[in-house]
Amino acid sequence: MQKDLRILHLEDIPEDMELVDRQLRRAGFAFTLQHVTTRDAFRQALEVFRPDIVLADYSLPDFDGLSAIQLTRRRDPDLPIIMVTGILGDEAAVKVIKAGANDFILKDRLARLPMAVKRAVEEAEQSRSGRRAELELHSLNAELEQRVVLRTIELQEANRVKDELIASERAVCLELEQLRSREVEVGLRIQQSLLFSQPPDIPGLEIAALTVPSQGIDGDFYIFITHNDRLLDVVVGDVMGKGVAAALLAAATKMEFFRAVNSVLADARSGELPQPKDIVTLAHAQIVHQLIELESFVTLCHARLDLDRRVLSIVDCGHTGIIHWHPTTGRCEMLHGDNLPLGIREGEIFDQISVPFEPGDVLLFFSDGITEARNAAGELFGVERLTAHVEANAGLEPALLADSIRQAVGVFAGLTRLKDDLTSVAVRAKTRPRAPEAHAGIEIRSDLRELRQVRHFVREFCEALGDPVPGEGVIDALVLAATEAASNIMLHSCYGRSDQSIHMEAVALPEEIALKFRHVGAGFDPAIVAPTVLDGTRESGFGTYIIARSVDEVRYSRDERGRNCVALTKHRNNGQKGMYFDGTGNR
Amino acid sequence: MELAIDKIGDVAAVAVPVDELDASNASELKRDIAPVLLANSKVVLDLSRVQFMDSSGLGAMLSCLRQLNARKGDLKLCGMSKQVRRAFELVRLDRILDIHASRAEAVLAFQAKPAPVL
Repeated sequence: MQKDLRILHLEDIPEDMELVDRQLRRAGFAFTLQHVTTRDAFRQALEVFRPDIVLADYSLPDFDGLSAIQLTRRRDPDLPIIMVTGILGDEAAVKVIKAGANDFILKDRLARLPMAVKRAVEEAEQSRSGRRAELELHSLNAELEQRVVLRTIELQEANRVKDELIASERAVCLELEQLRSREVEVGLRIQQSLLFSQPPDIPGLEIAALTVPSQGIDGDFYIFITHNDRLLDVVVGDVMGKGVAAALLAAATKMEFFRAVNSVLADARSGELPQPKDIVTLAHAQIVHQLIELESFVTLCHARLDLDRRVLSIVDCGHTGIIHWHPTTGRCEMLHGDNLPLGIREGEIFDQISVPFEPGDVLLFFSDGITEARNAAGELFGVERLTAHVEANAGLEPALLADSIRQAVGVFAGLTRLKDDLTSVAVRAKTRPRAPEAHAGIEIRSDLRELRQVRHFVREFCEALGDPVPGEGVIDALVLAATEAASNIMLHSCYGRSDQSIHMEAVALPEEIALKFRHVGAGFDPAIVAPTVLDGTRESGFGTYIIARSVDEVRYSRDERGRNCVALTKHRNNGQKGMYFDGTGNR
Repeated sequence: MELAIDKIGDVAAVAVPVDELDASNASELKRDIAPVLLANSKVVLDLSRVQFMDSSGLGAMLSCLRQLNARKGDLKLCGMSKQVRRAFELVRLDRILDIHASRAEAVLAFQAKPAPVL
């Protein structure tokens, strides 16, 4: 054994003490032995001496072996105790073992003692380490369990955080998507309401404008400024960039152009019209600062068509140029200027070029969305393809030409998504410039009592016309249609007010008579008019129907000053198209 | 508007007292003729004076017819100018309204047969 064995010996007989001592020494034990004889001494020794093993006599004068066993066990369940006794009956032996003694040795068989002590100490040691291991295992288990619990909490927390992240990411994505689609929506609305306008109605020109919006919003825009029936400015522009910002910049640019036109018109001496270069220079001066600050720029082409002088004046500011088709050669010519785009340099002065044009010529303004459309192979549609297309299709009227370009680009691009808007404005100078034979205008109030004056104006205008003199049917039809159109405007577009101004204009051309009504207020949407019921069950709703049946053409539009325009056109020679007023009585 | 009513037997002949019937005065006619339509079941509207009629005027004619029909009465029109007649034909009201050349013809048409029962 490693260390001294501490042995507590409960014995009252000195000889027996001696015998035990000797027996253990003989067996080679190294030990410290304490003898006690009383209960108190025994109890104290258990606490103070802290024995490794207890040897106890069974019967003592004032103590006893069984009590010693109980005290020992109570003190330490693993502390070994061996009864060393003179005599022990079977019954007592059972009691001793049951009470928890490890062994018992009869005093006449003391030779067994060393072996028994050794075994008991070893057993106690084993039992103790087993108990320790068990405790350790237990605490280990507890710790493990604790860790599992902690880890589970950690994981749950991590999961919760992850779910939150996913949810918030989804929300952010959704919000972004909504913002994007809202931006596209806002941009489209800006585009439709501010950037594009209806081509004006000019007797000597056929004009068509077409825009196919791409996925995003481009800053494409166009402006028509009608100076008079013989003089039209067409401005086509493109703001760098996309989205609402580009659309707003385009709207601002457009506004500055109108402002510049008004301003130079106000400054100009009477009868002298400002040149496009003056308009561009002034408009540029107003927006250049903002454009530079916003790091954007605008490419633009401002063209003026002078029908009387047959001159086209162009201020090209880095835009795509104009395709000019000549019917005499059947070929196209590219018209380019060499000004910088708007928003590059402050104080820029813009140059203007002038080229002659002839009746029948076609001019095509276009955005780079057309020439830069790509096919699946990545090839550009290009200017050459566009000019070739114009040469092949210039015979079409402008609206069809513009549409054919859209189709050609669509076929070329195939399934490739269009990156930019396709914008084109096609203008054709009519072969026979039709100077109006007569032209008159009046201003009326939105008061139903003025309808009489509308009729008087139309009748007087028509009856004053020369050859071909409009027939009575034609005049009656125009008078009726004009009354209907004017009452529609007064009743539905003037918000119940009778003090609104309606401008009425009559134009007589060699073949037809046109009546135009211009007014501010709500526009008229022919698409929302309920179909007219003619079976006698309805007392109203005939007006629009009457107009459509009385004249050959009805056009609703908005002019360059934002006024609503209703234009009624009727052939002078009793018209072939009129359903009733054609004199044949056919219905 | 002042309406002159001539009773010829049980037929009430009313002359429309305006040159032009349009959105400015059609509702006035509708308002002023209402008592006549209530008091009579056989009504002739004499349009001799009317040189122009627009959709509001046509609507007023149709309104008169429907009010009379609702009370088993009938309406006949007479004295239409060419232009007014064309407006009627344009919206096919000539097929729905009984149109006669003169007031006498219209009154006779009432006396020839009783008012249709609808």
